[in-house]
Amino acid sequence: MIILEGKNLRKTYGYAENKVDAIKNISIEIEEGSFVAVVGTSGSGKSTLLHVLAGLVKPNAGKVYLQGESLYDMNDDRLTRLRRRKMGFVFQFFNLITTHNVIENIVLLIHLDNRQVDEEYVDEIIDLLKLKEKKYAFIHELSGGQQQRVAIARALASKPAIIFADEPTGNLDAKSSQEVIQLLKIAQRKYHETVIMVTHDEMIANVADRILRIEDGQIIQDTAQKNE
Amino acid sequence: MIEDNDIGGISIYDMGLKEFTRYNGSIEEIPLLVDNEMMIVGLIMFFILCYYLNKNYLINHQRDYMMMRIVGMTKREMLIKEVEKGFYSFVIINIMNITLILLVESYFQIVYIPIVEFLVMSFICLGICVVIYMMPLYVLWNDLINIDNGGGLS
Repeated sequence: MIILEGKNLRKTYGYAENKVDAIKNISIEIEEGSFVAVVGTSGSGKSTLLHVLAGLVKPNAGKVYLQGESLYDMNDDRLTRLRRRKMGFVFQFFNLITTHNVIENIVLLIHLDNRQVDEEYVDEIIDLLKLKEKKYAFIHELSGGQQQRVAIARALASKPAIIFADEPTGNLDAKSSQEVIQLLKIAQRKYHETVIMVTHDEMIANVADRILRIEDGQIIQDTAQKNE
Repeated sequence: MIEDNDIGGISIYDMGLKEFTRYNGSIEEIPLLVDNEMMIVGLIMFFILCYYLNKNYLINHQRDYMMMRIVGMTKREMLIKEVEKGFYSFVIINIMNITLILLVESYFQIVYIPIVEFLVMSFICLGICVVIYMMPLYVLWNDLINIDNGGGLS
């Protein structure tokens, strides 16, 4: 079943001679429960594609449908609410709210949505991501890897339909990178999450079920692969 | 009607006489000495200082605000949060005001309930608190929530 669909997406930055086509007429379909990696060099348009698909950057042309709903046909308030209910985000930098502690960051979206926190589920995520001892720690007390684990926990806590990860390992050492990627993979398998991850690292991309190679704003290769 | 006095080189305006009841029941008339200019200048300085302090706070926590917008906080919710902060400041200032009035009255041993003055000051204070918290958000609105920045998120 298709959970996310982008049709004829085009995004341009700048004007006149400074005009850059970040993505050029890209159409894409993402299967529910799949782990998709978008790979490309710096400036290839992979992050822009992710932002467009996540409802963060409006494309100049084309449509994005999440579970059949057209993202850019709704007003800003509705799109923002849809982001917090159906999407989870893990970025390279400024992932977490620095004035909140770990558990407050994890349940942030649930509180924003005035929903009841599923304590059992949140505790399970905290255990899975090995954050039990850091539950009440402030963000500045955590290492980069731990911060990314908190970001993953926050993304999972609201039980989103899809998780967008933009270079989640870009700022981490090799060991922490592997850990974070494995946790994203476990999240996909255990909670049947759909994950779209942007990376420039081929090794990291290999954990995905599908690799989209992007160059100069266009998808040049779409490979499905089997992962145990 | 306003009589100009000069105490220690500072211009003081006599705003008239006010009747106060002492603890022993005697009624006395005490002149009210208020320097309007100083009060207005003080209020403006307080406003500017608080405005810049809050704007600075917003700039320092710009990433937090941006993250909140990305993960799903609407503009309206963000504004309500700032108004809430202004309201809490207003409540704290009013509690401090009441404490100060009680202290002054107990020091001079007078009984006076300044309802009108208190309401006027509270109203001005509420306005200032709300504006101080909301205005920087409006001024920085585009910088704070401009997520249409072409990959500036990562």
